Amino acid sequence: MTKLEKTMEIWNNVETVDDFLNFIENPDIDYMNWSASFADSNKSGYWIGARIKNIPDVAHLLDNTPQIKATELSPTSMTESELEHHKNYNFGSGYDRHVATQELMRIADVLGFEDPSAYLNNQPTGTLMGRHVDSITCFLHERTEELKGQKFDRERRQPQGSKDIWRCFVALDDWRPGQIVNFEPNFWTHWKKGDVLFFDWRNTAHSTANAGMHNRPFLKITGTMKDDQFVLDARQDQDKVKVFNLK
Amino acid sequence: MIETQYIKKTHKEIDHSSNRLISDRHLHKHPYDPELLESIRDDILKPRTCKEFMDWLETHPHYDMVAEASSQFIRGTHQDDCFYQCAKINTDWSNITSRIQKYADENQINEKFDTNYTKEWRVFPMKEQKEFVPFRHNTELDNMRKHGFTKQYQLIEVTLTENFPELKQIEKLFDFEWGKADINYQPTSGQFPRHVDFLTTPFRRAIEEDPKIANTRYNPFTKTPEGYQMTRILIALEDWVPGQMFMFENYSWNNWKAGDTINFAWHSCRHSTSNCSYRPRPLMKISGMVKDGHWLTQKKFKEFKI
Amino acid sequence: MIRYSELKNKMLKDVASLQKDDFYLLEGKLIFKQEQKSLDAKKYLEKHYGNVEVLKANNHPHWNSQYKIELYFTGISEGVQA
Repeated sequence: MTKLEKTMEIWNNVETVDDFLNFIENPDIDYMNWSASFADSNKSGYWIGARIKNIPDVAHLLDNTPQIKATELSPTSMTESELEHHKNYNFGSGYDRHVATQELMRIADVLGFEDPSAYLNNQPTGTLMGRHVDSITCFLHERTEELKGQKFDRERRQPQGSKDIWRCFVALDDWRPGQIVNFEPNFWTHWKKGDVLFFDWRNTAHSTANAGMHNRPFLKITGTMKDDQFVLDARQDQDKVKVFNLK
Repeated sequence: MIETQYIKKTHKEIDHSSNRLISDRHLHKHPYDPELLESIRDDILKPRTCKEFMDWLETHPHYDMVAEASSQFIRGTHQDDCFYQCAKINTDWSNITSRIQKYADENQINEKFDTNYTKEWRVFPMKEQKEFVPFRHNTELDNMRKHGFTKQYQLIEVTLTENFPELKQIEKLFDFEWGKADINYQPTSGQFPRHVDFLTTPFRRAIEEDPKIANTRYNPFTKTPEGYQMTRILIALEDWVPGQMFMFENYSWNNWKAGDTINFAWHSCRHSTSNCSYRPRPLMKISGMVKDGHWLTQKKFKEFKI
Repeated sequence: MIRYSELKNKMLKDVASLQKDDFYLLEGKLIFKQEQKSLDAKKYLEKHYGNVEVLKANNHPHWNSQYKIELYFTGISEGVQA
């Protein structure tokens, strides 16, 4: 049996959130190929789900020491199997992870997220993020006590019975040339500060690179939403993008 | 003029020492001042011979800005004016790429991957290679490293060695004058920043060895001696895999197959490469001159079988 | 492709209000010091070349001058020249 086959066998026996967290933290699984197996070009892609006005300037925050540096690997944001894979292929974390300020957390409030996980992710010049499919493990780890006993939905890769968990990226500055964001098969470019990108995190392989000369700050938000209808509407019709105002 | 510790050298001199600059205070901040870019651009457009242009370029006080200033590109330009497929080469690519991989493994190209220019950053075994250094101004590399671009790509020599005879045969198909071929091997996690080319390596060789070219008028739009077109083509040596990024301005070259060959507007079109995949990305880069009227200057397509 | 320097020469010749130091090229976009002049330029460019996008210019402390507007094309046909 190959490593991936063994991995899939264990995965198929995941019943609870606790089982899932143990599964992904198992150093013997083939995490990268397991997660990559969910990439589906029929479902893959992104859309602009909202726009936010009056986002504060974040330039001064980017000079702070990040929680996790782009050039380092950290068990906080990666599983053991992931870490080994990234080390073998010379990748770092791909972005500086900063704690989101209260002001930035208001963005998540305004969008209607319920108790979200949110971080200021800045991709400095010269850094890049290896291709991957998400598993929202950070979100789950941050709520282990609350969630571990719950049944796990292997189809949606989240706790069973709960609302859909969404992930989005809020552009905290305008796009600059050289900044590459590839949600396969498309590239997100020319964004304006305040654009909110939603994507099918379950099925979209993505990678990012900063081949330009300016920082690239995003706010990454993960969680359920009070009312996600505007996100679904925007997915169907890009002329129906809802605008929110932070002020 | 701020001293940059730059030592003028011919293309055959080994650049031993002067790679490190006194300081980086002469490096300009991004985004560059548009007014200063304009004044440099106006200066680029003044009439000069090729030799005069190289002399001007080498000692320019704002060298780090010259390449950007030389670009005439306006956003919205059609993709086919940035790059297009000019050829398809059919051959036994798996044989060639397995030799490249063996070479890469033997020389630890993937492992020794900090492209620090104080060492020769090509992988080479031959004496002749050691004496042939690319023209890289200190400021260009300093600027890149300052912005975090320390792992870029590796260049594996083709023209001056006998390690890859099939690739030398492919090089000859295009009939370049002053042609130079290298394998541009980008290990996983490698990234080369957005930049505009000058193709100074073959250009400089031509000027130093051919007085006729040295005294030919320089065309600052095509960045070539009049009567010629400096050309750079890229040949995919392996099929593309997702995560391998080759950007020409906002356009992406992807989904290539081994043997796909593109010609691009190197004189104006900014390009960058990022390898976010888990597979090294080898391309062959051939740079040189072709005369006006050559098929590569006519946007023609040719298919070859070797 | 449209070359900036050739396009600029044409614009200076054909648009009476434009002077050499009114606009420059930055990262592929035409960057203007005055909004009215950018509007004059936009009108001319759209008449002769194609759709033009307008952006508010970001300024930087290390620059010599201040700028108001950036313009760029959204889709020029292949082979078009100034």
